[in-house]
Amino acid sequence: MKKIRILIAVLVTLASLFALVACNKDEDKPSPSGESPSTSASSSESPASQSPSTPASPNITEDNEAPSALPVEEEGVVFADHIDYMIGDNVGLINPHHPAGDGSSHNNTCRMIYDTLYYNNPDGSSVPMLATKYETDDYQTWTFYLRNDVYFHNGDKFTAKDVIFTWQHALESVGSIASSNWDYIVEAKEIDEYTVEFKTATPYGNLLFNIGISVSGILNERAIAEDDVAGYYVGTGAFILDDFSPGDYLHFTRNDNYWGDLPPTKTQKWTLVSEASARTIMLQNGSAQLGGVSEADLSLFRDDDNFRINTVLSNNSVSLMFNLDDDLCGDLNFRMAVAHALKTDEIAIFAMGSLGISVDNATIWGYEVPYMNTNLPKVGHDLAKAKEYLDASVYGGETVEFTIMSGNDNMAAAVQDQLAAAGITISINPMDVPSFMVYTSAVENHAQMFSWFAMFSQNPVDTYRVNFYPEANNNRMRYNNPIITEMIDQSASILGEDAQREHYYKMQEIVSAERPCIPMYWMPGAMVYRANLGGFITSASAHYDFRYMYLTVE
Amino acid sequence: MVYYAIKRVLLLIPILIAVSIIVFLLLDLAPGNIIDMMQIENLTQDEYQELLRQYNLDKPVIVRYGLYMFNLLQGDLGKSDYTGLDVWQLYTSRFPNTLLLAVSSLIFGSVVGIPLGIFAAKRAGTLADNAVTFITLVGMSIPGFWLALLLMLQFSLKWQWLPAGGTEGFRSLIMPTICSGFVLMAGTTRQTRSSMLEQLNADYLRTARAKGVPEKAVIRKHALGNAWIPILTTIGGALSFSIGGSAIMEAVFTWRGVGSLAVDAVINRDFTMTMGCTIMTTTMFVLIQLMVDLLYALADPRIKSAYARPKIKRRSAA
Repeated sequence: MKKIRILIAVLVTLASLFALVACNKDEDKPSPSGESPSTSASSSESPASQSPSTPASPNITEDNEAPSALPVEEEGVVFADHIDYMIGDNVGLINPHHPAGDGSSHNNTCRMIYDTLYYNNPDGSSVPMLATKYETDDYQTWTFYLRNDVYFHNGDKFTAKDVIFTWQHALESVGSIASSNWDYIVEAKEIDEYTVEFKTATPYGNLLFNIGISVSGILNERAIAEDDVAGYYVGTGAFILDDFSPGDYLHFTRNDNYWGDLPPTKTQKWTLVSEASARTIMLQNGSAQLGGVSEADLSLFRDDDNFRINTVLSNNSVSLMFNLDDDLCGDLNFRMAVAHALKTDEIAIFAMGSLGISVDNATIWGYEVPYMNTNLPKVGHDLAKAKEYLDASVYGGETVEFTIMSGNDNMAAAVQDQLAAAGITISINPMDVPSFMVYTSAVENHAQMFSWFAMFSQNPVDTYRVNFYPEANNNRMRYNNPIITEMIDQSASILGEDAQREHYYKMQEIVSAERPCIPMYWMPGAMVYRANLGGFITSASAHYDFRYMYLTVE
Repeated sequence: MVYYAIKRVLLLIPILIAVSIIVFLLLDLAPGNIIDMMQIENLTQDEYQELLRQYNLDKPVIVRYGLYMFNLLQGDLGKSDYTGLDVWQLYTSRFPNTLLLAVSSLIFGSVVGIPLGIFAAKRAGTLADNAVTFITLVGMSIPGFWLALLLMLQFSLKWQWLPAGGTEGFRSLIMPTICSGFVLMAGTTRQTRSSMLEQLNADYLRTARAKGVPEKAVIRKHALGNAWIPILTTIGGALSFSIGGSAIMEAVFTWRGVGSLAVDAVINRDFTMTMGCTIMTTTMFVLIQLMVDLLYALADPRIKSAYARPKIKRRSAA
């Protein structure tokens, strides 16, 4: 009996050792953070190879091609008929006119199935799509001339009536992403079958952006009247959504009657694979050709010639925000003390590993939003200044609460250590998402300091409205400066590049001086794709274009 | 027997009412609502109030519960607050996958677990018994998602025999079945072993052996026949829980079942979807438990007689 026990003990030990070895097998490989000299990241993912102290501007992607720029078909190279793409976010419905109809993959789906009057290029320019041209004399009355050779997926011809319907429908859809883009138009009129006229409340210089965003796609009235769910799948876009299992997959088939250039790929399937490790394995075994992977798994692809890595930073920054209604956090000296105490480059690495890129600007603005004011004095790490501001503040040594969403523990620990060095004691209060949303609500924020996204629209007109307009849903800081409120209201009617620059620079100057939040790092995303795949367009606005994605085969 | 089954089915009504009240109240007490979870950026407070009104969230919980139950009594599970899609359609589109995985795991767990338990019981105290005990301990304690990733690395990546995820075809069922069934197999083995050990030492088996009944018949007919009840309880319990879906297994294997549907609904504070999943899962749970109870009767005639409708004795005229 004793021998049997010894045998079992040996077996258990061996099994445990085997399990440990299996788990640590990949740790011999180069560190994902890029510290190891042997690590060589691909050219398209410069953030990964940066030293933590010297983050550089990320290279967005080598695939940023114009949407209509079809890949050149070389001799002997043909395109695969089908591409599998693994998405990481749940697409529960396709409807930009529904309050829940938002999110990266949802909006990217809209680009596949809808066309917009104009198309926003990643560089910020707008080019005609369903409209051929526009005319305006005063930026308040706009006339759009429409294409007359466009058909919806259900066979209906596209006319001015569809544009009017889409505008009306968006305005009726309270809280939807479409309504926030169409509501600058106060009046829409059908001039003739292929001409529409829009009127805005005030002169508005950025209308093309609003109507060019993927969620402003033109809908088909008859389809929606017939089916209030599947009717929204009908557009004029380059792909037809022919199979959709909510929360599971989307299957697209090329629209062979498309008015524009035909995509090189006949079908695409986008499958929700929520587990990052599963996405990694499916990329490696060839089940899919494109998908987002975790930062930790990037090292598996870096030195593999079969794959490319595409890293994209979002316009949104993860920020340390202050509840300005709180006596302590309402004190500018305290906020400045915190701003000088933080080393955002370190926090970025703690939070996002090799993908962490700190916000290296003094301003509070989106990563790729036009008119970023880079001339403001930087508020960087300076412990002496931090202590100076702290002494001048109302802080009396009490413990300050720092509320975070669960999963951000590394970031919070780094913040806690750095603030402790300046003499500020904080307690970390982690919460699940729903609790966090209520606890830090814009209506009544119970937190003192908290970490949340400063959300910046690509459209500078709206970019401050989301965060700094009184009672805006994302104004969790409870920021309320009448000067900024007035300037936000004026933004839409500021015309001309110089005037807009002056306006937005001034806004940034005022808000940044008040430091209602401290942007810490940009939100990164990493997609891995097969080396023979190309043609997709990514941008900081998180509106990607996969219509002309292709996969070459020998 | 029929009387008992009808009684149990009718018992479903108060159970469903009680469960629906508890879940509805818990959801109401939970922080946040569906509009908070939509995280709409460009929303004014007026629009927020308007959305509250549209989703009936401005009404007291009792009114909302009443409205929900009124629709439910008409057979309408409603439309998901989050997506606007029909709850019944969403649930039934996922349920076959959950049922398939639950049944396949059950078959795997039982087909491997019961013989292994008998094998171990017959050889109690030997090296073979200890080895089986070790395997069952591993099965009970190994985290499912970890086993899942190990299997994926070996079978999907290294050997490329099986797909890493999806719900298409038999091959995509194999790994989720092994992962879900492994715990069930361990539980069934342990339960079978202990039940069989209890029976194998019983006096009536010694008598049977003394009378010359072959050992195979002793084990199969007599010992196993009396050991069935606890084994059935274990298997029935496991099936009842599996039918609710496993969000973790579904996430790892991209297996679209009702588990992830329910979890997403709770996270999104989608009242209608959560209630729909709860009602359906509770109904399935109760029906499976009823089936298990009826199987008890097949396994043990004493229980069958207990299920019989009590006969009212008539007084004799004399």
